Amino acid sequence: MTFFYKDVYLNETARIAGPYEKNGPMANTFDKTYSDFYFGRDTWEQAEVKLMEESTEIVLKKMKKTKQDLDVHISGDLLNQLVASNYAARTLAIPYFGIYSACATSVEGLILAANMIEAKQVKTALCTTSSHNNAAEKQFRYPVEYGGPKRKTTTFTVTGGTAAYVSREKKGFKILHATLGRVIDLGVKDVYHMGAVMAPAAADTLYRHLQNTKTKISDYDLIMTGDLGKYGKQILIEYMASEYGITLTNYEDAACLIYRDVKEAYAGGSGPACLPLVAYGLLSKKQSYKKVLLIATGALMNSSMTNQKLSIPAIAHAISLEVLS
Amino acid sequence: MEKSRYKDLVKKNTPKEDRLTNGVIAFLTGGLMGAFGEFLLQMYSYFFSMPTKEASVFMIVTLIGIGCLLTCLGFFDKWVHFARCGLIIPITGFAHSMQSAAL
Repeated sequence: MTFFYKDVYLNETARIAGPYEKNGPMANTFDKTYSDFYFGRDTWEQAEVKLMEESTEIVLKKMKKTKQDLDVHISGDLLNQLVASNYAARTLAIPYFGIYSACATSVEGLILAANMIEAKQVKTALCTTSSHNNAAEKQFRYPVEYGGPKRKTTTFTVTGGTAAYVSREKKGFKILHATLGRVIDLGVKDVYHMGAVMAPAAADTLYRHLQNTKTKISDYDLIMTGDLGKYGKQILIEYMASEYGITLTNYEDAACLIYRDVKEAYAGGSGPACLPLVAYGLLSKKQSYKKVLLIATGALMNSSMTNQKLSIPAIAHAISLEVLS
Repeated sequence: MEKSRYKDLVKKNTPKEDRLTNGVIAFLTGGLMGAFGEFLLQMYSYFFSMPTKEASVFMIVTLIGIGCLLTCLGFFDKWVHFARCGLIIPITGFAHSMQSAAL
């Protein structure tokens, strides 16, 4: 399913990052960074709530708007029952959608917002996403102090919060089209190789997006996937070539851009905040891009299901943006 | 793409783990751990003139204590990262995992 938009704009974004990202190559694009994992709160989960609240404040400040100007708030994160989003929504008190597609949440939020604005149901929308390395590791893997040996294909959850302001005002980036992903599962069971889990979903969404919008790879100045990592990126390139006969050019993966060769990061970053942190940052700094395609990929992993030896389903949502001159 | 073909594609793009290097490091650090334990054991039985059986209990308690303390202070995980199974298989690994969960 591909949606076409005539009059929807992604006006402004805010990006906050944690200590590891601060030392990475994207450091100069963040609005705010922190040197520790608590940000003045007591626990990691509460710290993640703060990431969302603060990124919202920053985006509203940039737009010179107040909370009262927002019609709807769409938010998602990795934690159980979306606690970070729910608690941030408690503070903001704007009519609220809580959504989950793991690391594909950011684009899913933008699609929902754009659809509602295009249908003239709402005038403005706020999309927030966040992830916190320690909170996510605690929930999905081991306690952080354990420090057990990890495989090379493991990804490292990004600590960051992003907010995006979407409305009909002609400013920032025009949202052109968006393709809603299908859940794809090619039988990968390895929880330490998320790139392999998500690559087929990304390929499927990318192919359908190109078909439905009648565009070519070369029409985009940048195609960016969310968090496939070093090895997943290679898998996607080969998958596209052998399955659809499409050669990927101008292609980047956000996971490979957010960290320098950090030892702890292994194959690269991951998490819902990974793609928006990198993509919004690049778009705001680099003026040479005209048309970009963002594909957020999410592994819909659940530890109970992986313990029952089931394979991991994945989803990818795509959205194309045009930079307004 | 069929699952089996995709499996091959994934396999092709998955890096090999450095099993030999990791194994050698784990062997050496594990051996050092063992030597340290033996040293404690002999020391306890010599200085406190107790039978080896009782001294071994004290030795284990000492190792658990050290493991927990280092985990709390926050650098045991970095050592585990380097030494891998050399530190996880001995009793320190158990102390470390329990302590991590508690933290």
